[in-house]
Amino acid sequence: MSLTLIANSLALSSLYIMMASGLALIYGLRGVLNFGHGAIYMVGAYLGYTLGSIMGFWPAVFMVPLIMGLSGLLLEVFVLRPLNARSHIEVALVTFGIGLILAHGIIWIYGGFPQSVSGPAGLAGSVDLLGVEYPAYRLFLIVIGLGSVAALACWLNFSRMGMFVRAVSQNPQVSSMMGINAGRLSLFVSCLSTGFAGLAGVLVGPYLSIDPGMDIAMIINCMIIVVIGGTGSLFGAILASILFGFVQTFGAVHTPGLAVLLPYLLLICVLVWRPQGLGRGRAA
Amino acid sequence: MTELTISSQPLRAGSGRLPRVALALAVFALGFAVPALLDQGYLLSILNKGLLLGILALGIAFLMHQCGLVLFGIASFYGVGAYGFAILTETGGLPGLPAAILAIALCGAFSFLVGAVIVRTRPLAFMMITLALGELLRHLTSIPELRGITHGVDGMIVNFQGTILGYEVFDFLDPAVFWPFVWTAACGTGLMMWLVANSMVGRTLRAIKENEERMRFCGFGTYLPRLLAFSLAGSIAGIAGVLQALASGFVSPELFGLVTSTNALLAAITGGLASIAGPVLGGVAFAAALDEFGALGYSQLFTGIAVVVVIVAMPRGLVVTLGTILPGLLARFAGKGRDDA
Repeated sequence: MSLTLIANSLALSSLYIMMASGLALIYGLRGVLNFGHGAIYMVGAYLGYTLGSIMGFWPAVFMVPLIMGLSGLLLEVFVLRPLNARSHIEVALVTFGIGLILAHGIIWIYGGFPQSVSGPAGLAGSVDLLGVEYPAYRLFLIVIGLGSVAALACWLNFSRMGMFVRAVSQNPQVSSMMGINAGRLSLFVSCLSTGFAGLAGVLVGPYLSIDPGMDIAMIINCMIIVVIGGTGSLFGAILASILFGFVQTFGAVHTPGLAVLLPYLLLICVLVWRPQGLGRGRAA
Repeated sequence: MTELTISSQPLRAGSGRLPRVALALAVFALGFAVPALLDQGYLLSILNKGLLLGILALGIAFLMHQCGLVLFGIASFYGVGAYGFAILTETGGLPGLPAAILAIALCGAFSFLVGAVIVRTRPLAFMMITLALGELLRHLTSIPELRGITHGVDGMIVNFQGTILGYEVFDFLDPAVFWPFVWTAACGTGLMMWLVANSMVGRTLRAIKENEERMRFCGFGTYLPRLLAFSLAGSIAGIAGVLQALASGFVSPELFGLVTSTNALLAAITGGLASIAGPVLGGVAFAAALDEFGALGYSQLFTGIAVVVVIVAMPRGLVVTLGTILPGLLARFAGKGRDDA
């Protein structure tokens, strides 16, 4: 296990963490899996590309999560709330349809070919990481990814609102009897979730390239992560993201032919062992 | 709540069995005359596509209505049927008919094995795993190590020795030759679904869907019935897969793709889950619409809009919605204003 490989795995993992934790948060509160999450990430990436070429990288890193976070408001008010009484599967399918429309809109605007995004000049070189030369941008990605999730975990564990979110995730009925307003919480959590997707989108540009199929590739990986982690369990999702990043990176190096299959094999292995996933998810 | 009221009804057995049976037989027999009525091969080929999609939709609707499980990745079984047939005839060297039957059986066995692992999971996890399975198979058929068997991303040309019921492999490319096969398959699978839904197994399945724990307390096994239903849906997709391989004469990893799965799922939802005719008609309607929008390059956009509109505005499906609205409209139009209860 070389240090570079571990760092590469962590860089990929931190991307997945930002996506999967947002998915798990909405699922915990609403019981709805947002199949449009991949498309939101894609919109974030292309928005980052446009804003980055106009204003430069750093303003884009702050603007895109903000804008995407506000779009979470739309998701909550126009999709999740009106369809609250419907079955969760139906709402999931509606979000899937919205995702298709968004992704197609992006392709319509930007064309169906990959775009490359240049990173900020300050992070273009490489740094000395315990005797190994390592790209500075990836290190930055790891710091942002793990840092934002650490902040999220602190918020969930030590703030009053975070406690309410955990309570609703564990048992929606009892917590609403205790006077917790799940709807209001959900407004904030939706914004947080789409904001994280936007952050992942704007950060992925210089790391990988951005292309029209990125939403589907991401959402399928996130689905696998959320299932492995146990649907609705935030800490399960984080654990699964890290596991997934390592399996994908190490697989690509050691078994290149089978690398694309490894995530699915991981999924099958975990499900045979623990059908409910790694973490402790929602009771229902 | 709407879901509850739908699912507590069995698929309508109806009063007055005999006229219905006669009607069904008449429709089945008349179906064979369709190629003679439509002299345009183009329309017939869309109908063929629609029925194939309808068969897939039937499998999805069955599993969704009877078990509450959403088989998002039905393309897995569709692709396994198609690839099974192509590989059995090419590498296995089998003649057409045995290869087709064996491919469907293999697909059934495959769905049994997959189901044995995944029907235990929660509904949402189930949905995502089936989605991932399709992607897994798509990658598996395209990896270079299996190139000798699957021909990788190039796909395989379907070719077999001998004939199937007197037709050679190239005859199936003609929509008029293909039609009787797909029509029989659609009617046959529809009948099978109806029989299962109205049997003891169907009743057990719906009871499990309503309350699994209670069924376990009452001494019913809840695992095996669901596994059987899943295998049945998978086998039906396998039938559609074999037919698809015959109709296009070609199989490729794209068969396993997300597009196939979402189209079939949407056809099922569009048609309505609670009847046999619904998903099949939904498949035909959807294939026609896809053909129209696909020519303009907007098929994905159309799919997205369709899923949102259908689920938000017509949760019981296009067929049921039209079925409840149309008689009222017609009655008003005729000035009778009768109530239909």
